[in-house]
Amino acid sequence: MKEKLNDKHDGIEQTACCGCAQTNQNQPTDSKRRNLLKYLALAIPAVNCFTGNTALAAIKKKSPESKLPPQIGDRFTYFSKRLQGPLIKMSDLTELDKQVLVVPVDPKTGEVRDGSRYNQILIQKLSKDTLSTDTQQMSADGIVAYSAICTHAGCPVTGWVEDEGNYMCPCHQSVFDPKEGGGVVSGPAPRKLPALALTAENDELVVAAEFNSWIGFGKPPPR
Amino acid sequence: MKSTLLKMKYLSCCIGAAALVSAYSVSAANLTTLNKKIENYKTVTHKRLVEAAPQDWLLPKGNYEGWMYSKLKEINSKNVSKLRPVWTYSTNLDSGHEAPAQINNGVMFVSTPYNNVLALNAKTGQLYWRYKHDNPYDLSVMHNTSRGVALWGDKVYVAGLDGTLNALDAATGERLCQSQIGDWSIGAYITSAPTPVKGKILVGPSGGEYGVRGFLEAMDAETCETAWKTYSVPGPGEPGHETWKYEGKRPDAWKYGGGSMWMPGNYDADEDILYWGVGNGSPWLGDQRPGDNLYVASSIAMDPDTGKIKGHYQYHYNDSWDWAAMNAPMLIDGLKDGRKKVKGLVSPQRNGYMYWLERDGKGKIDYLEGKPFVANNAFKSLDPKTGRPTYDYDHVPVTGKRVSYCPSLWGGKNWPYESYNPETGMMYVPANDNICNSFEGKFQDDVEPASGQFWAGIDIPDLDVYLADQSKGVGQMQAWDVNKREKVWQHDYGKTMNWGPVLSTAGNIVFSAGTNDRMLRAFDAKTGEVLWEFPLNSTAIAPPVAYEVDGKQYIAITAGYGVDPHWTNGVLAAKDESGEWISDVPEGGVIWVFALPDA
Repeated sequence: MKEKLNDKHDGIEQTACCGCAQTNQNQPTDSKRRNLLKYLALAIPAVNCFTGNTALAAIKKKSPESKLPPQIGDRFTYFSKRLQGPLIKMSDLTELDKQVLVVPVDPKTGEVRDGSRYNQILIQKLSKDTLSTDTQQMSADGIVAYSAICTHAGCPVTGWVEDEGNYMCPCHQSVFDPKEGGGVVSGPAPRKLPALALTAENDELVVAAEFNSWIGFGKPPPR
Repeated sequence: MKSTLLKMKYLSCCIGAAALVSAYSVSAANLTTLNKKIENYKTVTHKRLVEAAPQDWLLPKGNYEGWMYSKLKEINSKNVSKLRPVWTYSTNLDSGHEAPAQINNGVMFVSTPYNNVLALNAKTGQLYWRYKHDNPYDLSVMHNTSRGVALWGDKVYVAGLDGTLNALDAATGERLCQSQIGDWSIGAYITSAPTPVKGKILVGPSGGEYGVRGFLEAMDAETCETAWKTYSVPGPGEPGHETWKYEGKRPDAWKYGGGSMWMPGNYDADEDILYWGVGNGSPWLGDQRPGDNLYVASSIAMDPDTGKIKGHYQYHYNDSWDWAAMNAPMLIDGLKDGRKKVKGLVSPQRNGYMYWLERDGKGKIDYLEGKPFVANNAFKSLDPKTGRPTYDYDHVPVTGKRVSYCPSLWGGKNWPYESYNPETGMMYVPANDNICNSFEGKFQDDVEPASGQFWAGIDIPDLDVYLADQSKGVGQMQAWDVNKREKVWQHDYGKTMNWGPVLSTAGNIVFSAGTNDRMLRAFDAKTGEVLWEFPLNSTAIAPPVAYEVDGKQYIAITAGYGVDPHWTNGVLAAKDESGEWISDVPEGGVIWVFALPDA
């Protein structure tokens, strides 16, 4: 038990450092985004050449890379350890399904970036007609991605209000609208869920930019 | 000791990095703001905890028996109408404040949401020090609260939401050592007040909604080393394991079966036996973990030196309602059972039944009687000899079917403490009647248990909470004669739940808050008449306490609405059509202290 906790503490230290990097990245600008997309256009084909297929044969051992926030070009796999492994394809998702809890994957190394809770992400395929203009621009063929971490108290927002097409946090019932950029519908959450821009490559879902806001609850991280 | 030092060394390395990314983190060297060192701090001993002198409030419930009772009577039913606030102190924090003020020789300690601890002059309200616990920046918990501290020796012990148990220097607030009790990242966070017993500090984590196997751990008060750890769900080869059947889709359900020991226990100092409460099963649906599921929804007797379980009483088998039995039963000696007097245990349970039990002094717990104190439509009856309920399966939640039941998952009474008053022979119970819920049980196979994900077997948006009778209210204060086993009086609060722990005093008063009108009330303990009430800044869901400094009696309570009381109030207010339900209850923690005017 004590050894395990020491491992965990090591993780905290690393995560904190990564958070600093994330803070710097969480200032999206149009020019920055253009640069990132430019990088993406170059990087993704190379990545695909490297990985060669849409499934990872094995999840490699954890490294500091697992604590990094989603990086441009990252793919996704399931959060569930039982389901973890295959990269998530566009065709895996249908409009009738609730949101899926996923984590980023470094396509170069196969590293699953589940070393920080802040990397838990919700993805869901929605009807494009229902999405706001801004949300459509962030989505990949109607597939949206949001931070799973509630902006109220940090719980994973895993509840699905099917009738309204909204997300609900199981801890304190904050409701968010994935069709409107993750905006708050009701409850104690003070701000929308941070959104992650997506693109697609060979049917795989790909991270197109960093989160459009800082992750978590409380005050914003210092710049 | 070595591992403890390593932990501290590690923390001093990593916390500084964490501080760069979160306003809630501070460096290891600056966890405490020292305003004024406490001089001549009075050491807390076993003798003092057992004696529970009335001028102090050393334990969260006032005494080891769990009575929430004060012998002080300067403030009494004849003069309580003159009660006035004498000082207040803002905690500067939001969310649910659920900790009592704990007083040692004129020094007050209050723990708060976000794991601050305040040390104040109990007479003047001036701050000695404030400890801010260094929770991880990406921490998340379902219930961001703290239910008190443990006082032992010259230290103050507080559990962190991050699963740690921390020893602070009582005079300065400096953290001296800590132990990692639970792993918050899997859902084992701590809200409980730790309990001090003979040089050990005992505490258990939450996690019954996350697939965490419950346990209680004892930490050496001096070294912060683990003394023992006992799981509430017995493993293979241990008595009770046979009540977890290796059947169904999850034959290993015992590994993540819940049974969190998330509230402080009680202690029989004469017989040297602990009595502790065990929470709900995980997931909530009993059909996903076949068997009686010991010791879920039970009170258990334990050896404080070893943690060995010496006896138990299970209130209901195969819990399927989230009716946790987390509150330890009150210890009442000389309890009448027919013509004889027995060493008793009395407990109003979340399942809506009041239980009278007998303890034999060796850990065995026997059933005497059970009576409903609110409507329960899931139990047809209790076996007259054992108290084992017969279920109405129309109201037992199952997987794949919508089922309704009463009382709601929050129960006929949740964690807020009841009070026993030996002067009146009555027990005062903060009850909630007329509230029910329904949901469809889900087999959650998209995430694993103990992975930090909500894992109760329901989808929260599917939970419907409602009043059985829209014309009636919910919150009540009930007074029961513990020997006659009859209700003596009841006060109906109307359209509000009651989340107020109860204090009763030798001055023939019952103090309690917990309602959405923000009132702190004083009842006549014998008749239930409301003698005095005062609107606080926010609803108080913390225990009121009584203490004395320089011969003057004070009543203290911390207001600060949040967590489950806050959101259940919002849900019920939104459904209310009478216009009587107050929906807008402000947040914000304030310690209130009241006294009579000087003569």
